[in-house]
Amino acid sequence: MEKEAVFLQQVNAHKGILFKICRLYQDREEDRQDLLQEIVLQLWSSYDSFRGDSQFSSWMYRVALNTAIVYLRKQRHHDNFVVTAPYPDLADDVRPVRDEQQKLAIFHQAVAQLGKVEKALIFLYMEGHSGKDMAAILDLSPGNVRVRLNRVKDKLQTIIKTLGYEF
Amino acid sequence: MNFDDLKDAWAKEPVDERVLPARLTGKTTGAIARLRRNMRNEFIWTILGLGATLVVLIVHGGHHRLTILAYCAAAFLFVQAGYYFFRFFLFYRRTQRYDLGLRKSLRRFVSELELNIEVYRTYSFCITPLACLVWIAIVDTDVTGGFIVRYLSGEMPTSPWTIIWIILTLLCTQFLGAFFLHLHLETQYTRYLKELRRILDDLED
Repeated sequence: MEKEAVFLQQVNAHKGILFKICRLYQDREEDRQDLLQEIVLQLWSSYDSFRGDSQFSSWMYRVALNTAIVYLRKQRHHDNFVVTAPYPDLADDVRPVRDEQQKLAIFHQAVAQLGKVEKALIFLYMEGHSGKDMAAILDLSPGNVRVRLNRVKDKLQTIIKTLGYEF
Repeated sequence: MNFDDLKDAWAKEPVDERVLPARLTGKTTGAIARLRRNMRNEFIWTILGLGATLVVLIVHGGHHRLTILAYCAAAFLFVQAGYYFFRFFLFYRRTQRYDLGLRKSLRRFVSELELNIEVYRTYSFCITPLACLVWIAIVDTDVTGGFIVRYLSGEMPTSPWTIIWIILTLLCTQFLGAFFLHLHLETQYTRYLKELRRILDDLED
């Protein structure tokens, strides 16, 4: 019981990470809740493997991202209408955006069109992780992370332009 | 686009005030979790099936013309199933670690799953005739039981039509078995394997 309490306390101290991951990986609130539940369950079932030789948050990033990447959304009937082509035509007029919150909202909209691994990369980058940390969490080489991250940033810029914004 | 500005806005985003789920029990729905659940169910149903076969064999198997055949075939069936499910259990146990490096653990999981699916296919092909034989020997109907008894006592008719009929029956049974096996693998394992393979390809790109 004490172990469970300690676990919940540690997870609660870093819960912002989990909410951000769920927001990034799922579009609907209901799916986000399901993913959150899934991550918490996976963290709990893997908790014995956390030996304290790394920070709890680092371990949590790894388990949470692994879970989000291999998570399968529930199939719904209206999933048939999901647009598969990620790049619609370029917007006719590109509007500059100044407001920070609006930028972030547009950024989230663009990130939704990325692949699962690309989302993990951009998430860790936005969280301020170094290339070495990102490589360790995602089990990639630092060089590979650098190349992929640049590619993802370019892709995001293109998507944001196709949405009709520029910042 | 200036990502540093965005990073500031990202960091300043208000912390979500929602609470985390309090339940630490429940069904997980990730691809690996679903595969593990399907494996566990498969294991339980097979144990039940083998148990039922054993019970029927003990209760009814000793009073027929084909008793020896039933027990011999059942012994092979149980040994093969036991060996396969021991391997299957070891694989199941290895799949519970999530905190390993994603690419490394996924690659290992995907290759082991592919191997196990092939082993499962082979195992199913091997035990289908054995299981049929056990049940034919137990049930011992006039048609099939009599047929086997005649064959064992050397009274088998050797007309080409009979041989063609036997071959066609066996082929149809095996094809039908293969078809249902394919459906079963597709719904329970292969579609999750494809999803994991896609993620792995993405990681190894």
